[in-house]
Amino acid sequence: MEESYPPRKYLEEERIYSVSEVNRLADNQLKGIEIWVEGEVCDLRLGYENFGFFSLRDELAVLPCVIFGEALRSLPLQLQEGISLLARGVLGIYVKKGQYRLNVLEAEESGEGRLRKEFLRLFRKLSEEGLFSDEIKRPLPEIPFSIGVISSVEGAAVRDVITNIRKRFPPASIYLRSVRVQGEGAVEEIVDAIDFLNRISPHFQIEVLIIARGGGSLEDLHAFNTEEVARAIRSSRIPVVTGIGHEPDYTIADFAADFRASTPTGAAQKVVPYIADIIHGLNVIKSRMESAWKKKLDDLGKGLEYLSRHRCFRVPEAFLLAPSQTLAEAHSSIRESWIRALSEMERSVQYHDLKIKGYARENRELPMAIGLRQAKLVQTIRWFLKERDEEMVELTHMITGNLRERIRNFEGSWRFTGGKLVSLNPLKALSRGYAIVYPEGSKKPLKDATKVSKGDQVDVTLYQGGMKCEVKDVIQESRKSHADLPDDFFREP
Amino acid sequence: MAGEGMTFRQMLDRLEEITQTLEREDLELEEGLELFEEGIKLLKESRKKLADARGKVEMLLGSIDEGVVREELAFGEKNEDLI
Repeated sequence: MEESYPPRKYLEEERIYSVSEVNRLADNQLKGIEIWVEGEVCDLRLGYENFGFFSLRDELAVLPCVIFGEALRSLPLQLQEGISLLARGVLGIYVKKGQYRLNVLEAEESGEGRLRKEFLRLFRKLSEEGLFSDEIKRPLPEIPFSIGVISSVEGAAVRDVITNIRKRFPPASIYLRSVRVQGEGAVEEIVDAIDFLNRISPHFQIEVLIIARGGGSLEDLHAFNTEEVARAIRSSRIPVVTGIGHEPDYTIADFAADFRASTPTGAAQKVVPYIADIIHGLNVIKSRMESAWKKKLDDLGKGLEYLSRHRCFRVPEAFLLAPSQTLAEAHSSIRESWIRALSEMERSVQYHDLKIKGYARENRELPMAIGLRQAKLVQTIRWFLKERDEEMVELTHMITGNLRERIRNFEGSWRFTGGKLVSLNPLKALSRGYAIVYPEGSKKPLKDATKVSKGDQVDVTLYQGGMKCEVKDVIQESRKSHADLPDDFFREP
Repeated sequence: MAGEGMTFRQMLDRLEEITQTLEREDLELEEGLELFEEGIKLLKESRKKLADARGKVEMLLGSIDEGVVREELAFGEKNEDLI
């Protein structure tokens, strides 16, 4: 091949060439090389019907091309990104810009673009394998405080990601692993960066990874359309969000990721929430908590007030009266029934006594024995009655004792709760030396110094007594330390 | 201290739990007071976590075997005006 090239011209060693001369020289060297070349069309820009710029490429290289006027109009096909083209042309250099290119004279389509075919083949293979399925997607953290970013430190994408994270959620830390995002070594560096950030994540508590790159041709995005990168994304323990290219660009990496944002900015927006939203959520929680607590105290206050009106607190004796009456009645009726039973027994004993005395006239030895048994019987009955009587007394003590105990407990908890209510009373703060300031004639306490002006009258309420004062000066100093937080973000309960 | 050793998410979840318990009718005063105090502490803690911390922006260089170098990145701060 080399011998067919035009012979190398001898350059004058002593001479200093101008830029245009050098370019022209190089152009002369290339001129006359007419070739057929096959490649995929990319980076296409058409200028009406007069000219077209594009590149032809294969897996390893890109060849800039230009096509003019008649050649463009007589093409048997519509020039499109991604189509495979077989072109004939002459090599040359655009002297003005020093750009090497092929001036295409004629061309025909040579089948589907190889890269696109490769993309589709890989997509089908990996999706059949289940690598893109929703079930294996990892959930993203809702509020990450540590984020790993894989991108080129020189690119615009990394800047978009970092500034957007900063803007939305300043507390998050960002750890960048800079990689080449196209060309030789890009695939290896991206795969290595995913592994690297996973391995150091215990140290940095990285919760989510962003892989970002700006837009580009299919060739530029090639690294993100490789099996290696797709598998590395899936084998990451940390969830991965991609923000590669522009809206319509889909890469194999996008399908493998746990979430695909259409741009680097979109990835940042997906990964971190707006800090203002979180703060708003906290404020909502705070006011819900406070109003629930206030309601609880109000309810308790009402309950206590209602209770304090109860008869048992106003006339505790009355509360005890009814049960003790019942008790006394029960006691006496039990006692009476025992006495009745006893007297019946006595009567029956007397009756038998008479009968026995009758027998006794006929037999003299019997009365002694009967008298003895009679006395024993009476004794047994007395003893029985005494026992019951003691039990009754004991029972009465127990019941009244229980009642007293309950009243005491009730009183105790009432005092405790009441004491708490008192301590939560804002006026109590006055006793610790605080004061409340009202604008003159107003019932609403003053919270903001800017609401009064020099010379205004204000009323000051102290723990004991109050004062009428005149404002000598207004100091507009804010006590807030974080001016970016909403005013109502936090107050002491 | 309330919130110690908890992630931010866990703190938010606990706050929601506390609030829902406080909103219940049948809660005892003593339990309520404890929860309310815990809630206020958690609110303070979570606010502190949001407001006090300004995250780092670092580029991690080197390798795990030979040592990782952390280099602070300025953009997002200094260069923000340029964008």
